[in-house]
Amino acid sequence: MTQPASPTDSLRSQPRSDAQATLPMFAVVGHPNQGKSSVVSTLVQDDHIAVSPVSGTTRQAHQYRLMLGEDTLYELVDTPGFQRPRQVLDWCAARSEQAADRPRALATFVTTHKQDPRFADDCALLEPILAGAGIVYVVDTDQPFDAAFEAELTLLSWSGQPRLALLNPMSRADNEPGRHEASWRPALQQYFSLVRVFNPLLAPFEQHLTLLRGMAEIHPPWRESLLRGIDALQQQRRARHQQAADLLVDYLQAVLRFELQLPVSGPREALHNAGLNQYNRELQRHERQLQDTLARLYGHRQLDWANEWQSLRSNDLTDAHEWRAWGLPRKKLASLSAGAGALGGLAVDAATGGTSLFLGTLVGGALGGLAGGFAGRHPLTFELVSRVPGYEMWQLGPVSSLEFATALTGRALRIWYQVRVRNHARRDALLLASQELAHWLDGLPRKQQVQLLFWLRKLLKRRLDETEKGQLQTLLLALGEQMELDNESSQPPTS
Amino acid sequence: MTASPTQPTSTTHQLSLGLRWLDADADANANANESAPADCRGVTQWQDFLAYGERLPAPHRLKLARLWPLLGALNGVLALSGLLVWPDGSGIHLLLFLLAFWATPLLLMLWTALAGLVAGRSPWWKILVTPHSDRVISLWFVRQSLLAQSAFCLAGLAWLWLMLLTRQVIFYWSTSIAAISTVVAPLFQGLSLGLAAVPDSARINAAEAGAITGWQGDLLADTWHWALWLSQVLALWLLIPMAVLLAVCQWQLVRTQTQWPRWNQRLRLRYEQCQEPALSYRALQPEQPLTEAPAGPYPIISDLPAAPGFAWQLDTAQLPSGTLNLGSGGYRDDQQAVLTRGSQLHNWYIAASAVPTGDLADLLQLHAGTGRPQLFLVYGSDDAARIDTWQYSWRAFLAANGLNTPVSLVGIEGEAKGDQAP
Repeated sequence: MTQPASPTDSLRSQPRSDAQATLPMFAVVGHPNQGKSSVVSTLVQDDHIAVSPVSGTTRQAHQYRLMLGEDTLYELVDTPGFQRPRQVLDWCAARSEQAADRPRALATFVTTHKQDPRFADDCALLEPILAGAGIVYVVDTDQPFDAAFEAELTLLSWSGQPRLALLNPMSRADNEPGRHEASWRPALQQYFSLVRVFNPLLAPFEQHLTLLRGMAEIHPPWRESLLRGIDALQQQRRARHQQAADLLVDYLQAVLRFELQLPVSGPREALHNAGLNQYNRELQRHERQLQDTLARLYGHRQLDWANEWQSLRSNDLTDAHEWRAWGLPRKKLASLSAGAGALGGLAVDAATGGTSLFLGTLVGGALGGLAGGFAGRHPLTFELVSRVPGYEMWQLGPVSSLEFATALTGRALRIWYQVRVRNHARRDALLLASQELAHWLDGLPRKQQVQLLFWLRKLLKRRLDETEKGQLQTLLLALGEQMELDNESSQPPTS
Repeated sequence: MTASPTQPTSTTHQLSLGLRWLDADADANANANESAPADCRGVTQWQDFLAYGERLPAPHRLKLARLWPLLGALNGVLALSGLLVWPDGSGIHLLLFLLAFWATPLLLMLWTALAGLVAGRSPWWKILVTPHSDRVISLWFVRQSLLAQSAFCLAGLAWLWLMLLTRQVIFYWSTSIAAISTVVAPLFQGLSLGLAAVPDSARINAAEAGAITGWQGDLLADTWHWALWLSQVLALWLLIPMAVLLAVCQWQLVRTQTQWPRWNQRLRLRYEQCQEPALSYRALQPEQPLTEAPAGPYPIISDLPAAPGFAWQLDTAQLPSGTLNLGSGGYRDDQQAVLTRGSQLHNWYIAASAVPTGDLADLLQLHAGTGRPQLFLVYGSDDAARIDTWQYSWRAFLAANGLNTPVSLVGIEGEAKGDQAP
């Protein structure tokens, strides 16, 4: 989460003091429109940073500090792109007779041209580097390498600052290597000791850490602080997952056990339909709340759920078509439910010390299978709860169909997955391909599916106590890990 | 964050605040008041978080639960009064007294200790007060139960001694069940636990209703003995163990209450949501607003013009012959080329996907002084989907650099190949 700025802090090109020099600072630099802001946005986990496919969106350098309490762990500077690198190089080359003069020539250039609007971007980019920042050079590998890039690399090498380069294949939706990656690699390796592939839009969290570890290697005095930052980020990630799993347990209990009291005010059917509408609205409210809370938890404050989620939301959540998309096929549900029932029966057998001759497991399995296979067409219970004349009351809910419960859970897990793996540089709406839906819960390992159904069956019967909530939370955390593993395995490795 | 309220001190106050937080969440109970949670952002301590609960509606029924021990005391007085007039109003039936003030409270106490302190279950009446349940809530209700049971016994005893001081009360026993008659003496002696005031057999026999002529009058002599003995039984069997259990319960309650979020998932969530994360990014400059760029499409032509021109980051093999390649060497060479050929060459062929920079802007400015530059942005058939973004970028670029150069888009078959550095 990014906190508001202190306006008195600003970038200065004066070298940093000794104390400041041990604080890692990295300027993220490059040609315009290479994804520099995206890299920063992803690393600082803030979707407020202006990111746009339009070239030259960043007009000023912006500093972001990673703080642990009041300690600064490292600093990232998002810079505007190089505008006139060949002219800057010409100017500096004319004023440096030998290699030792080059850093000073760069500094003189910035001092001389700081007020010149033509070189404002180049000066803003060079200032933090001259102040001692390390360099993270970002390049979109769909761009061909040309003389302007060569000039940029030369200028950066003249600064003498520690540096690494990132090959960014972000314009590739399929996350394949960029068109010109082959020509970029040898060029960059001449100027940078460390060259990595990093797609700020798609790189999973583990790759963010790998990148930070890489940054820790290029300048030993900064290593310790950066490694502390990595530890803190990992801890924060774990805490977020735990909190998210808590939220999901809470959500599942709220929606699966939700009951709506309906005073008798007309024929039963009309009452049922009116109640169903109200019930749907409640489910949707819960789901929206879950989306917002999870998004906030993972630092997404500008997510656009409108497209894919809106279209599903506008439909009737209790519509059986929705269940098919989000839940599990009926046959599979029957088989898994049998497993979950057997799991419950096994507990009974264990309690009797085996004297039940595993009848509990058998009966539990059979009942579970039947419950899954013949899950009712009606997702909710609807019964008369008060017969007192003048105070007759019908009750809609809680959820009674395992299939519907699975569908609601599938949607909730999907929401979690999306905010969990989504990088903060992304500005596109949350989209779901239809084939993803069909295989979502279905793709989980069978053991986890059985465990999930075990808990859903329990939730259909009653509220969970605190110990059970803890157990369900552990299962959800394991499901979350599984989701992330699937996501990571679909990403190319960095190199 | 507004000024922090005072921290809670007693366990009951803490429980009240915790219940407010639990009730404040509308999802916890569909019938709950949908009050907005207090603005607690930035709390770092659990006690501070709890204190913010002061701003939430109080759980009214908890006040009644606090009076539960008082109800126990009232019951104690009523029970003893009942024993004074029942079964025949002639005194206190020792066996009934023991049934009401020893056996029943003992069973309840054992049950409360086992179910509440060992198994972690709440008393049945908790549901009348709150639907929420966890270890802390359960312990508080167990404590109230123990307090109520103690109050019942203490009030009964106090009422007994008050009666003794103000009127004549005799103690007796009688039973029509022969088996019980035989165990009364060992029962009474056993209840004494071998301590002082163990009633001897003669005294026990004398207390049996109708055992001797004029028994009621003779029993008055033993009144104080029996009262003392009954007080001793209640103290040994109930009051002291209850005091110990209460101490254990209070200790457990205090211990668990300091770690309440560990025991209640919903409360943990609320607390975590109020806490500022230890790790945060701080932006040192205000966020940059997105600038509005001029909109509108450029005209699209299907064929490249035949006239040569300047090529920028585009392979000249695709372009009309005589086209001059720029951007692949030094800036001065480009400048020279524009100065010398600018009056003859007007067209600029540029890959639409190229990122326009200040170098290009300067060359276009230079050309505008000697000729009439016109931009042809070339894109391949594969890139048609991204053309809107590129148009937007080029418009922004021209506007930022004050250029009025006419622009056209040219679609070609295949790929618009960028020029490679030598």
